[in-house]
Parts: sequence; C-alpha cells; structure tokens
Amino acid sequence: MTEFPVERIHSVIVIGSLLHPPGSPPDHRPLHPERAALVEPRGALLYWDVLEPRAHPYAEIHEPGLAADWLWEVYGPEAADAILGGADRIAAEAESPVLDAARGLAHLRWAEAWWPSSHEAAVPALSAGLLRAEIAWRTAGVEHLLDDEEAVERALAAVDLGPVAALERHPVLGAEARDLAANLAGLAEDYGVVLRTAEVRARPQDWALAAGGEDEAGPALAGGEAPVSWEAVPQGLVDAVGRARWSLVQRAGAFTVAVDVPAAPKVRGGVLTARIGGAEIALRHDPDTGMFTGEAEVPQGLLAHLSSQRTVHVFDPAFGTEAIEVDPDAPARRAAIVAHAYGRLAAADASLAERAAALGIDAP
Amino acid sequence: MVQGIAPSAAVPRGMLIADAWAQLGDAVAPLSNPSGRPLARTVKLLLDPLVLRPTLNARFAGGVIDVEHVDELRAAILDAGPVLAATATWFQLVKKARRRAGITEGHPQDLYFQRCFELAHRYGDPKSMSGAAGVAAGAVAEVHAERGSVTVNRLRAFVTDPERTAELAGLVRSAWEARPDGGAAAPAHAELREFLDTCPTAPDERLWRRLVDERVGTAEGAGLDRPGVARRCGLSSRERPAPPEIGDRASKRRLPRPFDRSIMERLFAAFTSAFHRESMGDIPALVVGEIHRSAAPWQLAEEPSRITMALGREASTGIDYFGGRVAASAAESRLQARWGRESYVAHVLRLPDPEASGIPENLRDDILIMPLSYMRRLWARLHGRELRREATEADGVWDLLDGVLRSVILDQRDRLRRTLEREGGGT
Repeated sequence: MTEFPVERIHSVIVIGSLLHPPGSPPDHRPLHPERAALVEPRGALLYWDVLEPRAHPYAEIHEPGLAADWLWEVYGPEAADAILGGADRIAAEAESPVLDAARGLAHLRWAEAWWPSSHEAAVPALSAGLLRAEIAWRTAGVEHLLDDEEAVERALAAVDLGPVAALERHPVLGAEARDLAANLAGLAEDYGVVLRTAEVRARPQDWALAAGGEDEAGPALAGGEAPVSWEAVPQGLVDAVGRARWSLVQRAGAFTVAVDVPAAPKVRGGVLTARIGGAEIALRHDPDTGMFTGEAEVPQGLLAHLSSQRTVHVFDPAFGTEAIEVDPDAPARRAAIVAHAYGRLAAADASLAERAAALGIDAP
Repeated sequence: MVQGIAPSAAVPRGMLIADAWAQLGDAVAPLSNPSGRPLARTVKLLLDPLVLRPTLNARFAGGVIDVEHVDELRAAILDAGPVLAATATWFQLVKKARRRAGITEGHPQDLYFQRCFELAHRYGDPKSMSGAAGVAAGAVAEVHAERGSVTVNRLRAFVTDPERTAELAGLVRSAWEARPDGGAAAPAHAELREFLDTCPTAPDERLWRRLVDERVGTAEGAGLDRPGVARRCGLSSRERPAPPEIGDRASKRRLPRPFDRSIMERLFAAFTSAFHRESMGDIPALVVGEIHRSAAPWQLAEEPSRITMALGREASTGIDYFGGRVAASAAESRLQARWGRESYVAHVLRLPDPEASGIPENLRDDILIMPLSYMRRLWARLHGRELRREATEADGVWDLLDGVLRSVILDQRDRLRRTLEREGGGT
C-alpha cells in the first residue's frame, strides 16, 4: 500500500508530486530526466524515480477519459476511482501483472538511456541488444494501454536476436535467453515483423582499466579538470564518472592545450568537442588508451583567457550544444545513480541485460 | 459483482472487459497480450465492431460504463466466448498457413482477425472439423490475392505504357486548365475555431454539417495558389503549386512535399502504407482519380478532407518549438500540450538536442518548424483515407488531428535515435 497525494493543476491531474523533496523545481514534473523511468500510456505520463524502490509510479493525467480505461490496473480499482472522483489522496494497491510489466518496461528504457557505465566506478556497460530485446517483450505486456498504437512493432523493429542467441548456451542465463528468443519469435509472427539475427562473434574482454596518456611535451604549465555533463553526450560514449582533464604545454615554442576524456566501456568511436578559454578542440577516441583525446595550438591572445576561464566543457556536437547549464545537484544525483546501477547488477529482479553484464558477458 | 469493483455509479470499461476476458481463459490466449489482456487490436477489430458495437449500443461506449449495464456488457463478451475461442484457433492456423506460404507483408492482426471471426462463425471450432488447415490456407491466399491486384509494379506499368503517356499528360493538362482561378485570399472562417473548440470532447455535428454544406474547406483552400502560401503550409517547395508530372518512379525515402509529388508518387505512398489496400479501386480508375484530385482544392477530392486540412492549419499554428503562442481553441491547446510534454520526454529518453550542430539539417527543420511536418502528414493521412474510401466525420476529426501529431513526434524520435547509431557510441 502506497499513499499518494493527488493535485489538480489546471486541467492536469498530478499524482504524487508533493512527495518530492523540497527545493525541486516548481514544475509538476519535478523528477530530473536522469532519474525518471517513463511509460507513456493513453492520456497520461507515468514515471518512476529510479532512486526510490516504490512499486507505483508518479503520474500526470491529461485526459482522464482515456486514462480511466487502464488507471485501475496501475493503482488498483479503488484508487483509480478516487483519482477520477476528485480525491486529494489515494492509497495505491500493489500486485498487478500490468503494473509489473509497466515498471519493468520503464526501468529497461531508463537503462537504455542513462545506465552509467564506467571503468572508474566499475559499472559495466549493458548489452544494448539484450536491452532492446527485453524492451520489446515488456512493451507487448502493456501494449493495450500505450499511447503509441504501433509500440510493439516499433520495439520489434529495433531488435536483433543475435545477442540473445549468443546467450542461449550460457550455463546460468541460457534458459532465460531461450525463452526470450522464443517469446520474441512468437511476437514477431503476431505483429508481422521480420526479426534480424546478426551473427555475434565473441569479442575480447574490454574490461581493462583505461590507462592515461603520457605527455610527450614539457611539463604542464596549467591544467584542470571538470565532470562531463550527461546531458551533453549520448549514452555509452563517455565514462559516467570520468572527468575531462586539460593541460597547457609549451612545445617547440608554441602553446598547446591538450584535453582527454575517459571513454565508456565498449565504446566504438565517436567525436567530442571540448571548449576551453575560447578554444575549440576536437577529441577522437583512441582505443589503445580508452580515452577521447585532442589538442590544439592556442593563439597568444587566448592565453590570457585560459588563466581566467579554466573550465573545460565537453559535448558531442551531434548530440548536444555547449549551452548546458551547470547543475549544482548533478554530482550528488549522479553518484546516487551510479550506486543504484551498481546495486542493480546484483538485484533479485535484475533484467537479463543487467545479469549478463554482472557476469562479465560481453554481448553487443 | 466482481471482486474489487467498487459499488460506484460507473465502472471503467477496460476493467470490465479485462475481467470478462479473463473468464474466457486460455482458449483466447492467441488474442491476448503477455499480461493476459485482450490485445489492443482484439478490442479494436473484434470486440468493439463485432461484439460490443458501441456505435449501436451507446451504453457500451465511453471510458466508464454505468453500473446498471455492467452485467450486460460482461454477458455480451461471455456469450461470444465460443466464437472468440474459435477465432483464436483459426488465427493460429492462419498464421501457420501464412508462414508456410512464405508471406511476410502486412500486419497479421489487421489482415486476419476479422477474417478469422468470419471463419469461426461459418465453421465453428476448427479443431472439430476436417480440412481446417486447407480452409486457413485458402483464406490467406484470398486476403493476399485481393491486396495483390493493386501493386506498385502494375501501377508503374500502367503509367509508363508509351501508348498511354500522352493521354495521361493531356488529362493532367485539362484538369488543371479547368481549375477555378484561385487567386483570392481565403476569408477567415470563425466557425473553424468554433469547431476546434468542441471537437476534442464533444464534436458539434451540426456545425460540422454546416462547414460541409457551405464548402468552407474548399473556400479555405482557394488561397493556396497565391505565391508562397502552399510553401508556408509545408505542402510545396515551389512558390506556386504546378501541375504534377505523371512520374515513373517513386521511393519511400525523400518523397517531395505533397503538392510536388508526381501522380505515381502519390499513389505509391498510399499503396505501401495502406492497410485495407483491397478496398481501393482498380489501377486505371485510381490514376485518373488522382489526376483530378491533384487539380482540386487542397489537392484532395472530398469536402470533409478539405475542412480537416483547414482545421489542421488553424490548430497546428501553435505547435511551436520555441513556444509562446496562446492557443486559440481547445484543440490547439491540446496539441500544444502534447508537444510540450515531448520536450520532457525527449530529455528522459536522452535523445539528441535537435539544435545540436551535428543533427542533419532536414531533421532539424522538421522538428523546429513543426506545423509544416504536421500539415504534410495530415495531407498524407487524408489522401490515404480518400483512396480507401473511408469517410471523415465530425467524431473522427480529433483522433485524426491528434494522431497526426503523435505520429510525427514518434517518427522524429526514431530519426533522432538513428543519428545516434550513425555516431557509433557504445550502445
């Protein structure tokens, strides 16, 4: 039994917002995107906070007439009745296969977006292939309430059975992988989607700690480091807790600023941009060091800037802009998310992707 | 009374259906999802149109059912139990036949659910009949033969037949010469806003009929021939719409804007996406019809389609990436709210920022200037409905207007996601 306050803000019914910690934005969607595990049913948004072990989601209901159809499956019949009847507090009942499926789907999609893989924090990357396969199966369990009428087809279109097939002979996870593969084959037939199955080759373990690059030039004249904003880079590119480091060196009479950023486990490439003191530096992935690195000569005029603007901003120009505001809550929130991910690896209800990662299986 | 149903005045329809469905047991599992609920398409294609018929039985319509009709609704589903169980078994057989025939096109639920229901009525449970597999194979062959008669290859052969090209080009010419002079600006029609105010919740049927009778959609389309108007609506890249080519090729990628599409491209786009392709006319009639449609206001043939375009133009003005416009109608306000939610959802899903410099320009434009993407999709939807001879009525307008925005948004999400795959990140 979980208690939730119910508010009505303009024409929107908001379930649970008062439970949010003081100091969160006055918006009725106080959950930071990095913490939000989301499902989009007809007429509403449901979101779970990944840092709270609560069974029931927060919700904003914008079309109660549409939501009435499924609300009882998520909060229980009496709570649904109370929500639609104007109550300002509800007691949600647990236990419903649909609630479990919705929550499972929300968490898988959260992991797809925000799983903080990191060498430094020892959080292995999840297999994107396994995640997509599990997402498709979970989507099918709630297809009757989703806003997107083609959600299952869309999810199946992203599936490649290769990573699932590669697990089918695994002593611990094999049975579950076989079930998942069979379930997806059945779904694909019911929805008229032809599943892809790419051959998956075992790859050498990619789990050695990344080594830092050695400076070839003279001693650093100046330097610093800063975290990389998760919102400025796509999933799986940059080590979730890695910090961007810069240093200014003098080489053959010229001043050069060099930047490196630790790459996430299993990264396959990509280009980042670092901006510091007005200089823009392209960073390329170096598979030997596990770093994104780059350097650029600094015109004399910029040297003065470097002494005052010492913060390095890193972003992926194909993903974000540099105009990401500095969020003072980010370090604490991100540390909590990393701890959560670490805990998920050993959780009783861990997904196949999480358990495979915990066992060190390297599936794409 | 079912356990858990509070003794209130009304009960959620979804709960009643789920409860009755559960009583039908494993026999209907092939029509159920992994949570044991009827599939969305089981409700849409079987329970609603063939068992509950809410359009005829108003007491079974809406999100909640009055408590006095609860038992009746449950009984309607339980009574249909044997035929639904037989439908489920037929569906299994039909899927097997489809697999054996090597057919992969089309959505099996869309294509076969209602056919299986017919088979269940005609033959009952296939388990107690000999030759059921043959009947299933025959049904599959029939469905695909009906669809197959209107194929892209036949269309291409028809429009590129050298003996016919001059004649078809002549038809385009005469159809466009006969167009009324559409130079005048459309007068403002306040009734459009009035209808947009009611259509999401209680569409005003009388007002809709008046819009049709007074040909307001046609009048609203008159201004599209003026310089830049069709371009600013997203319907053309040209300064003024020009007569279409007949065309001889088409590809689903990179279709030009609707008014710039050749006759071939217009029909091709509808062929490849259409469920119910079998309800379209034959090729020569389709091509001639398309030529005449191209010369009509909004390049659509039916007045309700044209009114819907005018409504869409009015309601989509406020779907602005940068926000700020005060909605002028209830429909516009709801569309704005859907678009407003998307910015939060896009963050939660960690999609790329459309303003990032590495995002392809056409994708960025499509997202930053939503009304244009919206109008293109709305036109394509209405065009497809005309080809399939689906009437557009007052009570279906909001689903169309809202569904178009949903579909544009979901496609844009997919496109943003694909830019990440090209990037080659770790996952």
